Amino acid sequence: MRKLLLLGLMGLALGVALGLLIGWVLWPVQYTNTAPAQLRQDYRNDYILMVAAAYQVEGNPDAARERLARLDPEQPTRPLVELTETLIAQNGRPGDISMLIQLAEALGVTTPAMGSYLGGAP
Amino acid sequence: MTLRVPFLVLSIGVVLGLILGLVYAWLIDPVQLYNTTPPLLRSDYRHEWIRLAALGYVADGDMDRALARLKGLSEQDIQDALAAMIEAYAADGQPAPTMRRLSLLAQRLGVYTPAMRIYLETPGVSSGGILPTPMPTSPVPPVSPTPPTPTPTATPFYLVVTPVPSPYRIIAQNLACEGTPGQLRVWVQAPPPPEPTATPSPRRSTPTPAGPQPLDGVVLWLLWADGADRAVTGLRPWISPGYADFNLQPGVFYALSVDEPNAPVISGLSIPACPDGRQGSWEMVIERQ
Repeated sequence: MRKLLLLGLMGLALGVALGLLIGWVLWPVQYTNTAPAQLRQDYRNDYILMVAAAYQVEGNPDAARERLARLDPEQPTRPLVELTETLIAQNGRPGDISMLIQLAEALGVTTPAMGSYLGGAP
Repeated sequence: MTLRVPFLVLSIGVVLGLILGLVYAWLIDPVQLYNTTPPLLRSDYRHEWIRLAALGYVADGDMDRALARLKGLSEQDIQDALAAMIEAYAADGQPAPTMRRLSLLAQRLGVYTPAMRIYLETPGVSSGGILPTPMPTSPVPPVSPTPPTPTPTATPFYLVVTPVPSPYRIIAQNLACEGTPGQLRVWVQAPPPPEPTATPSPRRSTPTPAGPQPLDGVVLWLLWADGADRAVTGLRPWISPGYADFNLQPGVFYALSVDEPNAPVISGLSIPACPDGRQGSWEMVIERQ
């Protein structure tokens, strides 16, 4: 009887392992219709850069804020500030940083790091 | 019998475990909804991503970067979003450099819209290029009682396009000093249909001649050195089904095309001055030949 119980538990464990393998690895849930907030970090960064570029072309800070809110509805400007400061710290492309800072200025969220960058820019 | 029972227990365990595992992996704790990519975005967000990538190219001019941002998205999505964007921007009168870059990106991606043609044919604002100015060839009868009818001075127009013959011609052009100043008001019409062969009939004494037919749905292009605008006749049917108008800016010289942006019927057009010195408007009647 004990042997049978052990066999049953072994089968159960094997089944659970198989189920997890299928459900997580081999045939995971396929998501479509996702929102920008679920994008991978590099795509999120690209999204923010594109929003800043769109602001350069359109000059509409309200539209930019609305687009940023799709990444963080609670604090729409937070991803912008974080990316700007990261790029400044990593010596990112000056054109990108400049566009991001201009958008940050338009949205009233400049930080000391941005001010220093502008001050130090040639 | 002794072998079959343990095998049955093991099988039941595996099946139960499998069900439990799948329920957990698919329903309770599925693969997390992060680290997704643009092709998985909802349709409206995908189109927004494409528009933003295009605006990114307009801002930084980096074609490789724009193409990388659009990688993985379906051609249909890209074509739909870009075509809609370019048409909307053209109708909105966006600056020529913006339109030119958008058109270049669209061309690279195999997207073609009527609005793109002029920007792809225009290598840039040139100081030497002068658009040929086909002026009205027929006498200009007045269409409104507003005399006089000044002819616009021939002014160089610096947008270079490859002009094609236009099947339209201006049959009347008048200065209008009433209403909103600084407008170009256009009536597009087809000539009156030919008179039917006269058949003597005792019932019809004097046949009423048919008048010109207003044409709705005709696309008018107003081009200037730094941009273009577009209007379609028929959006103000209470004025005339063949009517459309544009607002002109002081100090800007315009060319007007019908149907195609590179089929000008007139150029060197600017805001006229009324006899009392105020800004006037132009009223034109254009007829399809």
